[in-house]
Amino acid sequence: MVGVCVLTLLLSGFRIASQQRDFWLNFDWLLPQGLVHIWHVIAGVLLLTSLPVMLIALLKQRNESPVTKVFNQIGSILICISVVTGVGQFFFEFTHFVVRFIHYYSALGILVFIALHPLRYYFQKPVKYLVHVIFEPLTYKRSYFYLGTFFLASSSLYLITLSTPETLQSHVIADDVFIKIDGKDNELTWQKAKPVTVNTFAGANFYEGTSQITLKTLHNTTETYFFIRWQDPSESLLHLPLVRDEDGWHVKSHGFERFDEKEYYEDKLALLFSKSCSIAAAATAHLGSQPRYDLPKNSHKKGYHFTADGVVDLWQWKAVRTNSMYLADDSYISKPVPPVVGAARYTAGYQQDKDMGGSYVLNWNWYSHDSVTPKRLPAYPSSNARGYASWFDYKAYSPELDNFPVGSVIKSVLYRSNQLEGGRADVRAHGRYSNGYWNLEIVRKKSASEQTDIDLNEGVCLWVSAFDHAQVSHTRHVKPLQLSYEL
Amino acid sequence: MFSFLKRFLVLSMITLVSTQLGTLYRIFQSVPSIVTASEDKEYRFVKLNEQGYAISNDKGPWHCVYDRELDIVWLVGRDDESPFDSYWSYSWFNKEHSVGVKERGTCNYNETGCDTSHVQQQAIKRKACNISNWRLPYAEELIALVQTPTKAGGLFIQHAFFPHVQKGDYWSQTHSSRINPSALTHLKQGAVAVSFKHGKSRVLPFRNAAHVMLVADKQALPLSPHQSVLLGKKQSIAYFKN
Repeated sequence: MVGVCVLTLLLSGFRIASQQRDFWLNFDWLLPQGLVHIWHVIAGVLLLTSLPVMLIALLKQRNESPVTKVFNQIGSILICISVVTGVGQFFFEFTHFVVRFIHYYSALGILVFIALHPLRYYFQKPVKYLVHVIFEPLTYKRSYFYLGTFFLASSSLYLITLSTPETLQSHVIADDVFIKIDGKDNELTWQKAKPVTVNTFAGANFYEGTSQITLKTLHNTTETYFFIRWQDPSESLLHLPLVRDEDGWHVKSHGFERFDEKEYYEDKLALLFSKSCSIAAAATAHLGSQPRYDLPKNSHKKGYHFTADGVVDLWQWKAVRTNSMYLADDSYISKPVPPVVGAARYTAGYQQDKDMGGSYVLNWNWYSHDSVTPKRLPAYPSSNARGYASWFDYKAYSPELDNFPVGSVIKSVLYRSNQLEGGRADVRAHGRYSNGYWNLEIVRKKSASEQTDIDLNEGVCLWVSAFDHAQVSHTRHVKPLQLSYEL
Repeated sequence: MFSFLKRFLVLSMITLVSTQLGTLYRIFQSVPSIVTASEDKEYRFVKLNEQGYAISNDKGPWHCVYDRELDIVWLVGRDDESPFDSYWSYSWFNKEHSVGVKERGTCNYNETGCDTSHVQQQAIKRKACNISNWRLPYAEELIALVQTPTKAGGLFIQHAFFPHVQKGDYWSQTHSSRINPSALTHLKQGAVAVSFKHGKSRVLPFRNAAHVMLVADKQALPLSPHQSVLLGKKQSIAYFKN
């Protein structure tokens, strides 16, 4: 059983590692796909409960040569280190870089240990060895007793841990208290809201991929306000700029052709709300290039968000594309939608709420890694392409206007109006960057106005993820926060 | 050595199978794949570039779309401030028979206002996609473009091929006296228009401003060496016959 757990943990663990370490994407064909986080945690809890028994049994029964004994002890120590660091991350939410570093490298150590350890079994009589390890224990009655005990203990531990998410207490305010959505918590009432800090990890960029996010919340009879502050070493407003070279225009990017840009992209923050408090972002995070057989493959191999049923609400604040609209992009995660022939990108269950117009537009007719034709050109060349431009400040592209010198850059985000309209504009938000932190104020009505939104009620769970000039590689945390409304 | 390799392969297979059990289960479940439909090589629509050559469905840019089902070519709306910008609106006017209402829509290429004859003239004059027999679609043709959106709140059209379709009405050339908004029945005559926002058609008075998506009947398009492959054998033969 320990062997099965370790194998599951290693394979699922390397799939999880592929979210941050691109090396493991080379093993996409081998690593398991889908709700891998959940399998990883379940196998980890099972290993935690069964490991002590295995270690005692090993100490009592092993009759080996001193060299083999030392070798096996190293393996046991590596498993113990991996379990301890895993326990720290899951139960106590330790996300420090050192903890994750040790967890990762102890897993690599176990992999080497497994590869070296039973070579004699593998290459002499593999079937006999597997029978000995997997099937022989099942012939003993006490094995079933141990198995039952382990399953009972671990499932209890798993359920108890997940049934007690940390509470984000919303402080009540009167209906006539005015909160200006400006990215500042300078209203006195914000001082009464109790902040909660979440350590998020495994994102691209940031400080070794980690960002500490602090949230506090207020509510009146109709609305819920959030103030969110997170670490980000840079204010990234350079979003896929267009650069003129001798052959024409091209999009400055590093990974955008596989929808995994990590360099020339805006900062973002995502809030996910669900009635379910299951881990893996309410069981929507399906990892791998094709986490479900009947879906198309994704080119970044990192996975899709989708639900088995129902809808999860997703608000995505974008530093360039929505911030000056004073909005977050109101989106949702549902069951995967059918793919559309000819569509540039398939996103499975991740969709935007319906809009009535007024969106932002990317400034190219058709994206190609080699070259693009801009939709519109500014009046004058510039060397600064941070932020957005108004559609109407630029002129429609024509070869006659395209006399920009080599090296000119233009913006790729064009606002067709000053706001989105329709359900996509239900969430008002504005962020400010100051001294290594983004500060975001965000508000929505408690009652859902669309079928693709959910009511913000007592007990709703939420997750928060930050993006540091990255398209899909966001930070994450294991257990959700749970909203609680002060009466 | 052979024995070693054999055992190594057995071990690899066991590892692979054990990590992909879920995938194998789904394969044997024979779930109808939603990808299968999208990978159909004989898909209804084919992109045509500015010169009228067919291009692959995952390439761009394109200016027209060949519709295998109706055997016609659609002129795709753009957002480039050209006469074919999908933002422009037009009143319904047939210049040949002098029916309809002139110049009650808005576009940037006719100062006194725009009607459907203007955009038709522009398409013919400019030989959009190398085609010169552009016309307004019949109501049946326009209605045949309506399809269920793939996501909540989406437009009732294949938006990957028709990306700039507006959330308003689109004119057909089909006349009717059954004007839908009851307050406007005194205007007596109108034409059928289709809204891709609601996926429904209705009769609007000629003076209304609505959008236009022109069509052209099949004709001898310039065929590149790959054209017959992309359009399919049946269609390319039909083109040559014409």
